[in-house]
Amino acid sequence: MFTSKSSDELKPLLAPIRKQLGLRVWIQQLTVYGLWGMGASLVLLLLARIWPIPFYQWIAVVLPVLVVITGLVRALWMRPTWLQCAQVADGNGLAQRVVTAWENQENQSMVAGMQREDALQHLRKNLLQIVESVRIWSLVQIKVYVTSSLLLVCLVLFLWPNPQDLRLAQMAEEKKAIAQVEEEVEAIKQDVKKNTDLTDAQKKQLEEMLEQAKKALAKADDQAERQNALRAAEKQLEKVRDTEQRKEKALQALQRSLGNQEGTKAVAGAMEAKDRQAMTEALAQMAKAMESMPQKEREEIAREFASAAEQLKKEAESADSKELEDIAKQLAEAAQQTAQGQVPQAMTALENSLMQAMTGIQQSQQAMLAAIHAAASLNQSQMTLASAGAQAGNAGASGAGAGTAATGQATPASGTPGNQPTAATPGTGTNPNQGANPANQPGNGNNGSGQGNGNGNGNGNGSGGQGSGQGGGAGLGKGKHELVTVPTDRIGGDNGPVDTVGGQLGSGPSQSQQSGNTQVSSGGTLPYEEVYGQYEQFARESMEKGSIPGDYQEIVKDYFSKIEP
Amino acid sequence: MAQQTLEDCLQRVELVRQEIGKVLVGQKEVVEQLLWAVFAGGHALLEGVPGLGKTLLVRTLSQAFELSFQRIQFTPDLMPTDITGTNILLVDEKGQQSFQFQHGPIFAHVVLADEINRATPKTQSALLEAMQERTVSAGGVTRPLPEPFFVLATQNPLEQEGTYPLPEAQMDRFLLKIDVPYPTEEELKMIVRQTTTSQVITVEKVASAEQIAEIQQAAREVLVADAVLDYAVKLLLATHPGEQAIASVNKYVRNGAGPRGVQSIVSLAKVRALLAGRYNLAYEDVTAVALPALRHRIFLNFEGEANGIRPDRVIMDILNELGTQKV
Repeated sequence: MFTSKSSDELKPLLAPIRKQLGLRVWIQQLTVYGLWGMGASLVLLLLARIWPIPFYQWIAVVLPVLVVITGLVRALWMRPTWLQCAQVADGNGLAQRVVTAWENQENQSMVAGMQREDALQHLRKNLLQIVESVRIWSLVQIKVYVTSSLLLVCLVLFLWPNPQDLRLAQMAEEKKAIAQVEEEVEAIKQDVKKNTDLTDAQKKQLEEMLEQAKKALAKADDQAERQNALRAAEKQLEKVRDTEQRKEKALQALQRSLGNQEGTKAVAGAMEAKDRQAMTEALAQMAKAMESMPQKEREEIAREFASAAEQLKKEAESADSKELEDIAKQLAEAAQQTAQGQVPQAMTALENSLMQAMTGIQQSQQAMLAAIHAAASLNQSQMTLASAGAQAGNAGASGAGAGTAATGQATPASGTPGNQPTAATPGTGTNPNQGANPANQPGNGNNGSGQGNGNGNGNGNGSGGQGSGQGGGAGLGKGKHELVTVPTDRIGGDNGPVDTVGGQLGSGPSQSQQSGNTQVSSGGTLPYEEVYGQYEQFARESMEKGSIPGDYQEIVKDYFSKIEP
Repeated sequence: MAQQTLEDCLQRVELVRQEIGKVLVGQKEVVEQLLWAVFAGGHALLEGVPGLGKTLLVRTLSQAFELSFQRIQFTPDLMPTDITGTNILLVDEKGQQSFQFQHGPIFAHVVLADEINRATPKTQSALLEAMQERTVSAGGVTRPLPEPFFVLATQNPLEQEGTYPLPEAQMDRFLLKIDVPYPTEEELKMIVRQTTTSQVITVEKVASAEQIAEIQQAAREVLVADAVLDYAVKLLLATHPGEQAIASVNKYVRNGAGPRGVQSIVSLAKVRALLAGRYNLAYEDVTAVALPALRHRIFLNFEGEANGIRPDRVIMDILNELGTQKV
């Protein structure tokens, strides 16, 4: 008679099947996910050859690893159950004996006991065959081959140089340059804010312009748009500069007009010296003199005042300056009162107008300087952006990058030399030929208080085959200094490389620096021909890719043709 | 159920097979299916052309089982009382009259309803009621039929004139429908040799009614795994036309099998498993009994009938489709 038997024996018998099934699940998951991972990696590597994808190498390595880990986690999750093992056992001709026995483990009936015994008996007999029937290799064979092939292709793609790497490096450089430009614009804005010599209106106007430039820069999608944003801001700043320049000129004309007359010469001198005390004293003497002056002479002076007032009024209208208009009004009033013999009132009006004019000159100069400084910085930023692409991907190409910048917008100045800090006239920068002067001639715009403010957008070909440099085009340039090493025999001097900061030499102020021979030492490690070839090729590639704006391409070509070995 | 009992039962069934084999040549599958019906406690409908040994088979079966046997030849003029029996008026010696119930041929362990489709529906329903209830009510008295009780009905698929085909609901009462095939050439030779001599073959009684009941009880105890039961249910549901049905079902089937269909499948499959020496159902048991258990429960539509499609083909299509979804 059959006796009920414990079902404890079923699990140990199913254990080897479960182990084998578990192994199969692991290997299946590993190969399936490995296949997906390698496939994804391959697609990524191929796409990275069409479009620049940042960190694609890392992603291509990490992706399959992550996918495989996911597969292994899933394999843990999908660990075969005992029931599945029983089903596999039954699949080997056991006619659902094991599944039924597993489901009826707790069934204590006689039939259930006999069924379990029957199932165990059959399971014991066929266990080896069942375990062997759990095939692994044949199930994953194709997947393993495909995965291995994908791995091989990925390795080849990994080792084969990717042309998009260069573009990626450029993009990184551009990003860096944009961040730098944004910082610079913010710095200019802070400088304007801190400048106590500017009126609130001037500060507000400049800050608004810079803020606009910053926003436009942030919105810009590509290099050209960024350049345009900076150019637009630069133009606005130039307008401010021009306006202030006109104001200053008008007031200086008034000053000259007063200096031409004997009676007001002292007043003009005090005005020129910006000496308020001297101005007051000169006006007191003038008042005294006018009181003893015949009516005819007073009328003569009054006509001069009226003429100057009229001139100033015209300038005020054309410059749209309320400040100049006020000064002209007071001057006209002084003229009228002088003609009427009301000398004290006339002197008071004259003093007010001249004091205001004196302050106006100072403020215009400061605003002009600030605008020039900001414009120069923006100009420098444009060059930073333009050169960002050219500098990319070549750690040793700083010379080439600087070279590109040097052929940029060096600004010729044609204004009054800066040795007269009170009245340095800003250059207009309209004559590109002036930029062709050798950059190793020291500029003369940085004398005195350093207020020389030559500025412009002249196409300064600063190298002239003899030097290179980088400058914002401002006489008081704050541009970056980068060294370009060229052979001394090509520079035409014995002083080695030249780093030009500031505009090209015109009649306006500019600044140049000449480095000593000691700075050349690092350039001597490679033959010039070799270095030239690399840089020239790099520049050509950059032009082909459009990294260098069209305006600058001719300059770059010209530069390289001139320094050709 | 004890191990020894099972082995004893299996031996006894084997003896039955041998005894039947003495008389009936071939038709092993028919004999097997008939045994399933007996041990599952159901009734069987045998369909085949005349002369294939249907009646002989049933008679031999009853002889081998030591069971009472009655044959009823169904004709159009057969009355229900001719089957169930009736009260007759008796006059005793003293001249007193009383009614006495005259038992009809239904009161036997094995009833052979020969050519069941030749009787009128009224008569058919009298038999079918007895098959379902296993009792006969007459004269206000309900009388139980002997246990075990089997009705083994036959019908001829060829002659349809003057017949009354069994309604669908009544067909459903039969646990299975056995198709009796034409003998093979070899079997025919043996039949001729065996029946044209003066040799008399006697059938030994090798199993009693109690032993049949024991095997029936053992078959009911056979265990069924969930997956196998699921498979049987899926098989039944697949006979119904619908969105998930296979093409041939949707094309040819008007009505699929009712719930009795799956009961039949499992009951028969349990017997098959037991006769195979197993205590549990296997997929193969379900597939093996699917044809006899379902073929009379699937009703073809006009297109199916017109194209001469047989339910067996539809069931085979379903089995082929489900074959891949077993585990």
